[in-house]
Amino acid sequence: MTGQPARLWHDASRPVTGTPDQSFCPECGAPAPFRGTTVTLVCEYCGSTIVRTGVDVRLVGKVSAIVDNGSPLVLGARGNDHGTPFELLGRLQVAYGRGYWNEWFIGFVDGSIGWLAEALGQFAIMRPRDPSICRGLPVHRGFMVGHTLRIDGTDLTIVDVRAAQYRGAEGQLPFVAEPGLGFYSVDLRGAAGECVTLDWGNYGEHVQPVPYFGRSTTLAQLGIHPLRRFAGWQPPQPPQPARGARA
Amino acid sequence: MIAGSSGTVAATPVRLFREQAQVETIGCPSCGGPITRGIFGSVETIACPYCGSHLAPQDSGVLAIMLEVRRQQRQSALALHMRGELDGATWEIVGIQWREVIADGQTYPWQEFLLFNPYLGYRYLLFFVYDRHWAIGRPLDGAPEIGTFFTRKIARFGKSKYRHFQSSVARVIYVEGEFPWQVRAGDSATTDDYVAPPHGLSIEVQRDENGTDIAYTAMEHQAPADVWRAFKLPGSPPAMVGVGPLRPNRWKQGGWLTLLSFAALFVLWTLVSISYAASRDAVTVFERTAPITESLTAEIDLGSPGDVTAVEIELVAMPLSNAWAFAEVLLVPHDSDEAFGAGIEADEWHGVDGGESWSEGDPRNTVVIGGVPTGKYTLQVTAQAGQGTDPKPPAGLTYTIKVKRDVVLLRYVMIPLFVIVIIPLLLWLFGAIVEGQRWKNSDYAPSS
Amino acid sequence: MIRKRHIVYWALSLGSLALLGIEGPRGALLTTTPDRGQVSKGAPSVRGAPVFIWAGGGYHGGK
Repeated sequence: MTGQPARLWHDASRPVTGTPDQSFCPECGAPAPFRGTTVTLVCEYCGSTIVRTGVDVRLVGKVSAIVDNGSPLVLGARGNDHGTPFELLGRLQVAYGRGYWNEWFIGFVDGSIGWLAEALGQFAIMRPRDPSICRGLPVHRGFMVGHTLRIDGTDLTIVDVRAAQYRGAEGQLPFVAEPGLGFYSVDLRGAAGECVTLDWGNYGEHVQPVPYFGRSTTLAQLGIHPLRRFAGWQPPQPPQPARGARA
Repeated sequence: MIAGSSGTVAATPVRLFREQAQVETIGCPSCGGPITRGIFGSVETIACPYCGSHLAPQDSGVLAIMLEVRRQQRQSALALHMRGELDGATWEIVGIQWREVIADGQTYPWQEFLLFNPYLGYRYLLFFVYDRHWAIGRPLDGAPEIGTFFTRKIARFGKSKYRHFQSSVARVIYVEGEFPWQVRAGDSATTDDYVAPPHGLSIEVQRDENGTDIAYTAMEHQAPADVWRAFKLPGSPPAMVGVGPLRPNRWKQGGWLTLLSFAALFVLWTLVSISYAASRDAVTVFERTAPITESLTAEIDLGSPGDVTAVEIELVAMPLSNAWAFAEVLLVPHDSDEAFGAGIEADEWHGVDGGESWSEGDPRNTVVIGGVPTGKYTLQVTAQAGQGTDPKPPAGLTYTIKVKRDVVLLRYVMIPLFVIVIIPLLLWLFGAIVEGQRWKNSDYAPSS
Repeated sequence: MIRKRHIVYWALSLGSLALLGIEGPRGALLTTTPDRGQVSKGAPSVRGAPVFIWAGGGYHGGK
């Protein structure tokens, strides 16, 4: 089985929270505060993409600039998922035939990770599950939109089958995010509001994708703050008082 | 300053999008008109409101012309950039689609207004031009389960069941404004609509060069007055015509409580009726037969004094053949000169008319007098009889008078039963008529 | 949720049940109103009892 899955199953022994490791950007020398097992970091000062392998830090060039697609979220914002606080640590912007969407890499206070998927104003917090539940599923091209199947005891309908490309990134990501890299995924939905994404990473022929389970949610339910401001629009909640200093 | 291999760089970190997003105005590459943007950030389609051309931003940032379309002057219920309050939030109309379905040779046009809020995303406000109904669409938080329920195709989502209403092909005729997805005049999608009024589920499948796209939308009927209030429009909205697929059926509202009430009231009726009937004495206080020429007199007891009762008097005249009989009944209370009286008539007529025999009349007749004070009475009955116009009574005719007091009056029992049954029945009937009007526009109309 | 129609339903039903319970035993409504009138005692009949004759007063009924 070649090719790494795009999103690594998180190694809980190296929590994402806590003191960042002290590394420096090879391009401009600015501090590059990698946290936990994050692999990629986009330097805030010069915009270069830095990848960490073990203790080594190397440059992979500049990821194409993030396009403003009107997201109300900003890097560093905080929220909570059913009471567990999290922080937006990084963003990956993805392009496919029909447009752009954002995948926000989030770190919870208990050290676990997840993804906040944002597309067309809809949000879902996706958490990884044991890939063994995907045993017996077809490869990526075997999925047809509209068909139904059962994963981990849940009946689901396939709603989107796509091959997409990384377009831009900011902050930190837990995998090597090379600009232009393609990846394969499938979205499924359930009749009780279940949201599932199967991620084959850069290699659609992988027999076992990484499954992510979640539910659709709203900015208000997640209590995200601060939110981006838009001229002529009132934000849904008043700004929360700042919790500790964040430069 | 931080020195690096590429020279000096920013002293402070560059954080994206910390400043307030501004409303853009861009020039249309086709006509040069200034297009004021509604949606922040990049979108997939912009239809110039001046020249109608379809534009799409490219990766390079340039706005490319995808389709040169001559702008059509089209009627629209609402205008671009109008803002309204719906679902407890403010929304701006950023795009308008004119779509239609052609079924049985008829064209059914509607408008879809794309509503936008930068924090809440998108909603669809639909205006059905042909029946002037409105509906709001929200992206569904999931995918429904399609199945069957007896003979009907249904969609299950959450705790609700939606019945299949129609399958159709929806075509985009014209667009104006911005859309976060690719849309072109001429696009068509297969639509399946399921309803559970006032809610509905719409499933749209679109196939194009990018693959198959499926979209699930949760629909909800909107009263025209609510739309007018939301957008603060003057005057009255256009009135709805007929019963649209999502329009709630006002006769069915509160149906469960009506059914429960019926059950409770029926039980109550049974108890009260039994109690009423059981506590009636229904005693015969006088019964005698005599020749028609003879009067009858007797002392009768109509119950302990101080009450009011119903008295039934029965006349049977036998044998009666093409004749009539009449009895005058007088009840004289012992302590008063004011009497109660009633007349009872009995008759029997028969013959042969053009080969067919007929008969009418009844030799037996009853009269019930109510509100009779109880106590002791003197009963007096005088009778007469005749044959046709002949006042001479037929020979051998006898008559029987029977007087009963405190009788059970079925009419008092039937009236509450009628009320208890008829009201839910009428509600159900009107409800069924409205449902018939709704479903005659569906794929399941009896005629189609 | 209780609607106007439920209130009307209960009101009419309970009203007619009250009619059954209260007026039923009396039977004054929905029955033939008896003719009322003064009677005067006439000559005793064969049986020895007085024969009452309508003396007028009140509606002298008939068909």
